[in-house]
Amino acid sequence: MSVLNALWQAILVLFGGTFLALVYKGIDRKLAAQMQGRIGPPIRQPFLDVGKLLVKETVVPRTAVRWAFNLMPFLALIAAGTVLLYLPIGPFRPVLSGYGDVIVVLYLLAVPAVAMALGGFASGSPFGVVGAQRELVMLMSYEFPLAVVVVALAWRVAGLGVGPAFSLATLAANPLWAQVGPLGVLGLVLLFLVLLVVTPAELSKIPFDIPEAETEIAGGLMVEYSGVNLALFYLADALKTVAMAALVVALFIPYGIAAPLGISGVGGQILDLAFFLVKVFCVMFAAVTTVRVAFARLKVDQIARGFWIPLTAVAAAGLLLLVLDKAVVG
Amino acid sequence: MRLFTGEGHWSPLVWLALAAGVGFFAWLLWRWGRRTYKAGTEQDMPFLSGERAPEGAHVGAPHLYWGFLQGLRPVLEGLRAFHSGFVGDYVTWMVVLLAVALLVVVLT
Repeated sequence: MSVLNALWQAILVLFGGTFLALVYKGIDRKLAAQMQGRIGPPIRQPFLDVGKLLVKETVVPRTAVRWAFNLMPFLALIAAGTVLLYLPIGPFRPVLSGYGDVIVVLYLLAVPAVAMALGGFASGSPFGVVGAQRELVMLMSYEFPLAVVVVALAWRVAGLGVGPAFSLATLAANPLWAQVGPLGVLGLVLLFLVLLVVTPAELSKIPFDIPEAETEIAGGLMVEYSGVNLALFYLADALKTVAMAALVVALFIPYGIAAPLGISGVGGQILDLAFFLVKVFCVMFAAVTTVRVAFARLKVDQIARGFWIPLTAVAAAGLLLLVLDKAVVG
Repeated sequence: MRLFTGEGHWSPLVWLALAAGVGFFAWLLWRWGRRTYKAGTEQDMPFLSGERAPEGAHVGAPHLYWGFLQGLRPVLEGLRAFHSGFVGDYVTWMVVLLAVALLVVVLT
């Protein structure tokens, strides 16, 4: 693949991903409102929000560390944007396939959270600092079960001898559901459920929205952000949501429908791409929209304990079942 | 310029190049937006629900991991019990863990 070709693909994924991320955000808000018996904003509302933020004043508090306060929105958007380039998009391999694996993806997904926390600390606001502290505690909490899920999948794929086990192209091209026995399927179901619970935490959505918690700490680490800085964080959040859902799809449901329907060529690719977008939406709907409507906010100690003890235990049980399955199936 | 471990890969330079590209577009957006405000007025005071922050007040670093420590208190207190302060205890733990690790290595 030539550099120019890769560059065009990267630009297409970044701009297409940003557009879709805002559309998904609009759909998410509309559906959440409908579930709560409200009419909700129009689906184009996120575009209007970004446009509005661009004409608002960008205030930097006098207590802020100015350079860090202004830099963090950039860091969040850069990480959330580039992570899309390491993920398979439907029938297409990642744009940067061979230049970064799932470990890189996990680190890049953590960067926006770290950037938001540093921005909160840099704001000099008590609300911002409390929100930043909560963000760091959450990051330390959900990374453990998330790492267990990824390592379990990679370990089992490594046993198949089909290529670099941590490569997302390899993981997506070799879904494990058909490769394991009944114990392995049960283990995969547990790991899938763990990842669905981790997803809203990774995105700081209800019931894991303690870093912002508008009704409690007035927006927390975002309280001092306004104007274009807030717009950058807003875009980073939208992109990270799509990236997280695309990661879930790549790890657990990477299947296409063109081949079973006997459609090949460009038509098949378009169909598989459309199916991929539907899967991403379904993951978002299940793990973000429904959950944030159905649950109330958890407390920070409940989140730390919940992720480190029961959820990590479930993930470890999934890993153990995969190990037992390999011992039985071979 | 590409690290390949056998099971994974990573090229920091490629990421840096793309990060520069995304950063450039973010900068264009930032330039496009309005960046002015009325500095030195009430507008750039930190928001504190209408209250005035006492001079020198801040959230201390010891609170950083409060939620984490609170949530995992039973586990941490259990771990603390292991720290008896006797060197003999620590050496025993090291020998036991080395034996377990050796057993795992030999069995696999």
